[in-house]
Amino acid sequence: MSLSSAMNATLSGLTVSARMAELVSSNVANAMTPGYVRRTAELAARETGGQGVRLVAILRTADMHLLSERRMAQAGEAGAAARAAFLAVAEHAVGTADTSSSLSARVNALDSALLAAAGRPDSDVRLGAVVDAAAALTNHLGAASATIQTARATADSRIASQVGRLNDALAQIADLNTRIQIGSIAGQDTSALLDLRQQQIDSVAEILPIREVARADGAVALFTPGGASLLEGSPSVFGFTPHPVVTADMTQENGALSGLTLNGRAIATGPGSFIDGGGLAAQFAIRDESAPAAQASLDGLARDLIERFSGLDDSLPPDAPGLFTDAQAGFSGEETGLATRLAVNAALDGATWRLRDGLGAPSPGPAGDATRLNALHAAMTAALPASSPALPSGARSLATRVSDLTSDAAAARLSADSAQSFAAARASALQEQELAGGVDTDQEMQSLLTIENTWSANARVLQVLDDLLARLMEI
Amino acid sequence: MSLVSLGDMAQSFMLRRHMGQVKADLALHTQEMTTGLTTDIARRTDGDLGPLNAISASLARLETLASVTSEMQLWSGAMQSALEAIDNRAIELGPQLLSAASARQPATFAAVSGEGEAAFLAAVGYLNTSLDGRALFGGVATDHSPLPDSASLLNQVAEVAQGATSVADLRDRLDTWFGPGGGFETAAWRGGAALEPVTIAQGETARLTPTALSDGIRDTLKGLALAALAGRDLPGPGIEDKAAMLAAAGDTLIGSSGARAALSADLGITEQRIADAQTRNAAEMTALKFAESQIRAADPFEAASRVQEAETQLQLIYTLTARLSGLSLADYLG
Repeated sequence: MSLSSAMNATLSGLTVSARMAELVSSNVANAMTPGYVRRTAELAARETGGQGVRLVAILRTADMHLLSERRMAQAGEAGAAARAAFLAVAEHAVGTADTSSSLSARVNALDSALLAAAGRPDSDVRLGAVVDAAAALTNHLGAASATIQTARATADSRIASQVGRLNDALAQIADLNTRIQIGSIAGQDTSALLDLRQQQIDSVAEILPIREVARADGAVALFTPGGASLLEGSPSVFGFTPHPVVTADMTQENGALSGLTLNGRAIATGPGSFIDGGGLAAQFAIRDESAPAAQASLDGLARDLIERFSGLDDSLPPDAPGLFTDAQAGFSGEETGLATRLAVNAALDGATWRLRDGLGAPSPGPAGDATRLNALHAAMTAALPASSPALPSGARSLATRVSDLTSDAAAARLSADSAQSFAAARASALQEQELAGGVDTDQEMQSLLTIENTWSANARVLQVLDDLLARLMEI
Repeated sequence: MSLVSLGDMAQSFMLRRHMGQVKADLALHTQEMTTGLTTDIARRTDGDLGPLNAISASLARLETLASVTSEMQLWSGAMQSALEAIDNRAIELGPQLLSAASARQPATFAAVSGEGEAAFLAAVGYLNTSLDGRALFGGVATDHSPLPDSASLLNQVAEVAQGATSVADLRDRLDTWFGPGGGFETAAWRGGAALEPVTIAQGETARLTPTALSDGIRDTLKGLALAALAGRDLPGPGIEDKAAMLAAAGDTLIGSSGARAALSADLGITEQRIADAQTRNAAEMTALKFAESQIRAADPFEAASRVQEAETQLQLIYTLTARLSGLSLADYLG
């Protein structure tokens, strides 16, 4: 009966129009939803059961290549941002030349105080000013190294929280994988689940660079470009033990700080490792490389201070510490953490005249004797080679050493800054491209017009068929 | 696909990103404009802070040197006027003593001896001067006067002269006592070693050398002591002895004038060097401050035009945001 088959075809047109209107409304409703991928309908003519149209599938129009690039860029940006943030902290800890609270300003204050005291050695006020300036210098080094160790502790706790998030997300992605597989085998629409999975993967994309590989029935496997398998059927589990307090002598090498395990097996965390390229690797780099390097230069400077000012005083045994001490003793030979142990000689407590008369002097000597003060000033300005391997080996005065240190910190921060702005520009360009492929309400409105027309046309056909049938009935 | 459609979020994301960037620029340049200083000194110098650090260090040092040199100037001025006062008294007294010696009038003897004693007491007083709690002529022992008080010093000299049989014997005794290694150094002198040089400019030092032990001072004190002792009837009360004593005193005072002049001249040269150093330090400071501001200052014209630029750009973004949000097909579908 061709009239009823025509009716069937018209009905299929009406149904498909309604389904398409549903898709449009869903797209428009989710125009501002992050991670939502636009749905479109795939239509085909009916092959069996007469004429008509059928909805073959609902398509998620995701650009997998762009998605993967954007995730890589996001990981790179997170890493660069973490590095730049730490280097800014390290630069701030030593201070830049234009602030009065910088390390170089402290050294200048000591220089001035020594000169003023040498001009008037009998003045207790000026001798006191020298001791104060020396104490301010040691305190600054102590505070700077405390800042750096705090940054390490922060990196350690961030690693712990990132590892936690990563493990949770991987478990959820594995669960979603299973549900998507079941859904697609049963022939259901899995778009919403796919969106959810993409959001989950995105949420950890800044921790690790992630490559997504399609597996059977809509499942995915996840890898890092370094070669670690994050999810292949079952999720991988990362292991990490945080340490709330980090001191300069604690490192991953000596076992005092935790490394990273993947499924119970220890993996490397440095450059070129499985996890290299994201925020997690950057936190490891801060904790295990950048911060210890910054600490090492502070410690080297502390050693230079101790050695520069020792052996000047004839009232002391030759191996006794001078103006600056390693916890009130001579340099112990252990450079790590020296900046925190650096202290002004306790012989000067309440007896600032010992600066003038010798640290080992039992009683005050001639009040106008500037010999030792001049010697101290000469030791500051003399170009001496550094014995610490962490400092440049050439001969430098104390002011130049500190200037080198601040310049190094500033240059490192600057290059990290430009790396970060490059990474950020790349990530946002890719994100913009990805968003450009998202829901365009104008386009949706346009398709809505077409849908409306189609629906009206189908309804009109139905009306005509109805008229024809009525005419038949009248006979 | 992307040719026929552009996601709504892409547009708002792009506008948001540009707005953030322009606002950050605006804040940066506004700060530069108001402070006149560049906000990121490391970026300005490409991370090479060496020159700026060197300038700051030199400026801090020059500021200290300014106060050190003005103190030195104060002390050297006080020393110079003490030396001058001693010298004036000695120059005045020398010829008087000689003429009194040749006149042989006992009344005059008493008067010039008295003058001599007063001058001795005054000279010791000058040498014991301290300024702002700092003894000037005692070398490194700046916390107390270098000589005993003037009367007891004269008594010490009188004790040495006691029992001298002749004028020549007495002169010998005083020569030995005031000479190197004599009682003046070992018993009377309470000062210390010579002062250390003090830095007055980058790489330049000056030292205030005169002490109560300087040659001109010793001989002057010796001459004045001879005149004073004549008044105490040493070695004897005879006219001949007194005349010889006064003549010896006059000779010694006149003979030591060269050494006193040399002492003053040396100190004068040091004073001049200190004054020169002050001038040079001040000039250097001005030059360094200029150089510092060259490095640190932000060009106000550039900052102002950047602010203007950012303002225009921000206004454009606002206009675009308003226009684009009105452009929606949904608004036109009736």
